[in-house]
Amino acid sequence: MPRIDKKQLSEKQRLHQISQLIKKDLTNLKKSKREEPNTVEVICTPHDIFHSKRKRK
Amino acid sequence: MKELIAHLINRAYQVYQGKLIPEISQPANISYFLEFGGFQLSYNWYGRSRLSKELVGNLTIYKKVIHLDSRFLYQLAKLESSYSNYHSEYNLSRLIHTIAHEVAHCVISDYGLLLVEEHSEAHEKLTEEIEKFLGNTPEVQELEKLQTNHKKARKVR
Repeated sequence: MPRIDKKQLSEKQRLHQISQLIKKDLTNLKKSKREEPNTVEVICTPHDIFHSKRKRK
Repeated sequence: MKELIAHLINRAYQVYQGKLIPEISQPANISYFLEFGGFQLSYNWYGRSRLSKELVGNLTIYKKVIHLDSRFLYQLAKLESSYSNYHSEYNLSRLIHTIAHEVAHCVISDYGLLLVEEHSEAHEKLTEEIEKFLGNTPEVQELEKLQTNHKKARKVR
């Protein structure tokens, strides 16, 4: 099957891809049987930004 | 400025809310608005999302608060520092990326708080989508204009 260039995907297709990834993560979480915490704190560090930009290239 | 950021994060949140998984039109951890907690000084983050739940009887209320590093504000206001280019990395494009990054956490957390503990591939892709969306909003276009006008004004001086 020919590889589809990411740029050719429509917004709907890209959102569908994200949806599939979230569903996969949700399935893995269900398997882990971890209890949902009351509070979660996440930060966006320079590392996150530079790391994701490097991967995008 | 606080109102503009609050407006911007909620605009993006409402657009992507419930849009990701069409089968789940009303995710369990949904909030009706995102709170902008303001600009705070930080040594290790550009932005931060605090996601929490509170029980009110049998009802669970989800609260989602976004904070941004105060240096974004200094850079927007073009305040000078004694160190040259101290605030320059806190430019408008990094601000937009950071807002997209935090809003993506909030959208994904609608499906479960545990989903946002790590920066997943889904989060990275959603950040890209939201960043594109933000770039076309009148709020960001206005900020871009203000930055350009400021540059022109400095040249005249």
